[in-house]
Amino acid sequence: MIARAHHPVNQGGVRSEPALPVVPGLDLALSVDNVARFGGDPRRYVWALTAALAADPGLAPSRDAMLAVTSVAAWRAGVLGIRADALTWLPQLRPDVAGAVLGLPADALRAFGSGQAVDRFYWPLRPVESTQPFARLGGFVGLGGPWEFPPTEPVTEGPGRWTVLVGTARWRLEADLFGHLLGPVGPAVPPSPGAHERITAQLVVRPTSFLADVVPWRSA
Amino acid sequence: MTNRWSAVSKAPTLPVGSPPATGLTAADLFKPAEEAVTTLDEKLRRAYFWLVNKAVISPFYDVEFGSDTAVRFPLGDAGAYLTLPKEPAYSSNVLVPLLAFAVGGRCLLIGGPGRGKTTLAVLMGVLGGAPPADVRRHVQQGQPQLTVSDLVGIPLPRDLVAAGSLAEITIAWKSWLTGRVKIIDEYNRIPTKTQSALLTMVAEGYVESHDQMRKTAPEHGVQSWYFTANDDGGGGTFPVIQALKDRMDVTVQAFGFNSRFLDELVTRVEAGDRPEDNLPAELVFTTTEQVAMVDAIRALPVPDGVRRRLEFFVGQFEFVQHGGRRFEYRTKDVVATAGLDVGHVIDANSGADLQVDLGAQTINGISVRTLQTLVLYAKAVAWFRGNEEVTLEDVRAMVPFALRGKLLPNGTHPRFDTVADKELTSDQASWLTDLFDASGQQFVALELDQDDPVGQLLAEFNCGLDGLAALDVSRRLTTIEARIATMSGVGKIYGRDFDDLVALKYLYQRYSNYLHWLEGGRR
Repeated sequence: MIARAHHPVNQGGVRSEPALPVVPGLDLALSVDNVARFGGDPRRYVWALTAALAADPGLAPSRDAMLAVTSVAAWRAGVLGIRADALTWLPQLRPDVAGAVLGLPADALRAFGSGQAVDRFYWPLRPVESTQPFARLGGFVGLGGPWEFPPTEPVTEGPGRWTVLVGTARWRLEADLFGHLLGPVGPAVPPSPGAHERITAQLVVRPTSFLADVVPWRSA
Repeated sequence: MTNRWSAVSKAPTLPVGSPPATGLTAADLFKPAEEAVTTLDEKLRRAYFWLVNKAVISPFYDVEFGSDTAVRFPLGDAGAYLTLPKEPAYSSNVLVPLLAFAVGGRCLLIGGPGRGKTTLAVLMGVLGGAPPADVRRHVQQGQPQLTVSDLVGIPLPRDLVAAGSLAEITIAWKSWLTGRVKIIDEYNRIPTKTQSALLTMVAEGYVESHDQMRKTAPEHGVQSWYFTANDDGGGGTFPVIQALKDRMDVTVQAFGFNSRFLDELVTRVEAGDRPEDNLPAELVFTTTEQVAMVDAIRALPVPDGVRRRLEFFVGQFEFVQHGGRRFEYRTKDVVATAGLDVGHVIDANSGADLQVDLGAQTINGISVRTLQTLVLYAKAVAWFRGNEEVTLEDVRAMVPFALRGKLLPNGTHPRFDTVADKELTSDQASWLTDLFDASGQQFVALELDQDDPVGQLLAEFNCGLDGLAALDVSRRLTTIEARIATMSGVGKIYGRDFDDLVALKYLYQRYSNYLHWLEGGRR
């Protein structure tokens, strides 16, 4: 089996192709394009929107409520850059709606919100002692990944942020539970994550793999 | 009207940065993606891609970058390789003329008949905003009977009869003289006298006839020259005068036709249209844009590390061991101006290893004009690629085009007799790139990127002499002597040492003159 980059929280995937709902006053089609532009999965985004509107059809007329839904849905679809905004909107959503968007039972939402505030990889449905990766990143260029060489020499920069050496170039990897971004290290240093966040994951690379695994932190 | 010519590459043509990892909000999801502002470099890239994808059938991507990551395939049994670079590569016979257009330079296109040299030059004229018919009409066809009057215009016959002095003669100047893009077809068929008139135009920016003068360089704006020739080895109806040849900034080979692209040719035959008549208006550069483009290119910085590599490369070629008695006169130029064969003088040097001494491969050095051209075109290609500064690869990419016909091979060098390198005698571009690469390898092997004693001494001097005490000056003089003694102790000397030794003597003189002045002041 060929292993590819993925986030296990998405396992099962989005199989159906739901139709994009129509909401007066909001150009949802544009937001789908932007989710793709910001590195998210547009299908999962549409799926999350549809689930939210199915849970509460009365959401559509409220612009604020829909902004909250779209923000959380975009985060759930893998838009890493919207994480902070989505966490701000999340408490304003009804638990059943938020649960539908995230794919969580409504009664797990409180734990999810408080857990995510300190641990960007927290997921209430994940067994506490699980050693499975939170995410597998990168991959061989010939199989759709970005790298020609296996990643080496991982360096932790902060919660959910690492650099690795790929060939002769150093790459920066940023990830959370739902999404990730990869790119060669440039002159710009990204801003620090939230002050409350803890380093809860580490990056593991192997000479035999083009994938870098984000796994639970284990002190040496 | 939309037709098969009208498609222009979408901006941006360079990859944009990755999406932000923080700071997005829900409102950002409903903002349309910002239209990329078409900067001048972006416009030039789009012009390149239109030219290479639509106008000129040239699937030869020989200007390569990222050679360290390229994949190479050996082909045949004669040492041929096909390289597949990972970074974008460009077709030299489109890119180099386009860069000449961007910097307002002079480009020589060489190649056999029917290879699109004139078409390409005409396209540059249209890119400069002239109507295609005018550009075609203004192409000066080189031919053995071309007189200066044919080229620049004739005195009015009425004035020739009535004028009491030359000042009263009005010249009917040809309109092509003031065009922003000037094209001279087959310049090696032009008689020598007419070539001299052309030289004045190219070099000085004016033309003279019957004691009347006309400026050919635009007052405001940029002019580019395109010359074509089907021979670069001194052939043609008339040999090209050396001074005119020297004025060619870049020389580029027009490639043949690739038969796999015959379908496009068939389409053109059936449609009966020409690319220059269909250049999209959005790719035309105004005078203001061209001026701004030249300014932007000139402003691109050359980092110290790149400059140092270039210095090391250029310094290899002027010195020849037996060129003269005095050290400063041991140059190829001294030998050549004395009418002697530089190759023989190089051959007489039994002390140095000719394989190591890169200078032994050439019969001349690199002139200041050529060096300026190389720097300018390296800046141009760096700017074209969207770089913030010139990289070593930019310089390397321009070496074969800026030095072709300027840095001449020494045919008697043993390298050109070996089977492996025999083909370099006909392939100057590859030879020049190889020279540049070999120079870079020597630079690294000598660890000059880490330790450059002469560079340090020069940097120290460049801090200024004001307030320097006599003791410090004496200390520096001793350091210079010690450095020269070290080089002297090696017993052998190569071209790469020549510039360093001359620079050390220069420093020594500047310091000792200063010391004399200091001591004189005390007395």
